[in-house]
Amino acid sequence: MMNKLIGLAILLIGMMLAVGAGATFRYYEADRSITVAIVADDNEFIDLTPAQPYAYLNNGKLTIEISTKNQKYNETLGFGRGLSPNTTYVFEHMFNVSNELWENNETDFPICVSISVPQNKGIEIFEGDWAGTSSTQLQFTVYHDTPVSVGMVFDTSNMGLGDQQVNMDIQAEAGACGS
Amino acid sequence: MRKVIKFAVLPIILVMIFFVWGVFVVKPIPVVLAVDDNTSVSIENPLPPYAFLSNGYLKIDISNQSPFYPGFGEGLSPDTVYVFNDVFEIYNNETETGESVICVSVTSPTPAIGLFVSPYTGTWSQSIEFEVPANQSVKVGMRFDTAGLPLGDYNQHITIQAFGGSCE
Repeated sequence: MMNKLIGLAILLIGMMLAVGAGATFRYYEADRSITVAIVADDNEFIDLTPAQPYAYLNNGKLTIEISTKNQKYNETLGFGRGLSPNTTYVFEHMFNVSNELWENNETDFPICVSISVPQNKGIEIFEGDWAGTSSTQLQFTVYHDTPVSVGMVFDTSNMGLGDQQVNMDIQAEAGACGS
Repeated sequence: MRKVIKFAVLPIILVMIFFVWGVFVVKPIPVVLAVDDNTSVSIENPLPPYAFLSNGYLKIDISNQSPFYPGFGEGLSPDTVYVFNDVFEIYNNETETGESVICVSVTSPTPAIGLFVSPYTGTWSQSIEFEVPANQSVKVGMRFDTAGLPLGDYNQHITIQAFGGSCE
């Protein structure tokens, strides 16, 4: 009887050991939460802020609109309704691009911004003040706290009356341009 | 004496039943340990500023509620794509996992949140799988596509799973 008891005790100790030794990693599962605030263009990381009445935020998205549909158009004040054919208009500082990425909190974290508009649509862009040159492709480096302003040239040569619409494409990559 | 032995054997049998039950019903016990990830097995490491530990759990927060919010850049705008390298890393601490390699899968429920192994090479997926050798880490990046999302907070979950052994 005593032997049985000892035997059982040894078995028990053995099983406890087996259970203890079984506690190594086999499987892991975890759900982790993600929160992203969807905000307007002038509050986001790569921030596009209108700098002219012709630019405004439409549902959070930068829109450049030279027409009576622009919120800032005021008919009673007799504002101009648009651009006439075969003219060239140059608007400096249409909007600003700034770098609000949180990486800037500790170190300099410049970004290289590329902006493009479709070719042959009568719209060209330029950086900073008007110096007589513009292009459909623009690339510049933006540092935190140093917004870069973008101007636009509208050349309505050979365009008929009516609305013209194009999309501007903005891309940014980490690091200064050409680095 | 016989009675005493009987009474001694009974609790032993009860304890044995408990353990047998423990082994076969609660099995696998390591799962219980593993779920309690922050006390025994911790494989996720946030790489700030967009990820951090919230009550011991990895959290990704791109809003002004994040403790790393520096006072500028309040979020992402609609209809944009943002790609972040190195949001968090998965670390295989061999003394904790006891595994020379673990197979990790990370899954997102929506194409709005894409995943990739850093650095970004242009490809991403809603579900990625990779191996982490002992005492090494693999950094995970994320791609956010806010197309069609309304202004306001967007909340989601990603699921991280890890298995002992290689991915085959």
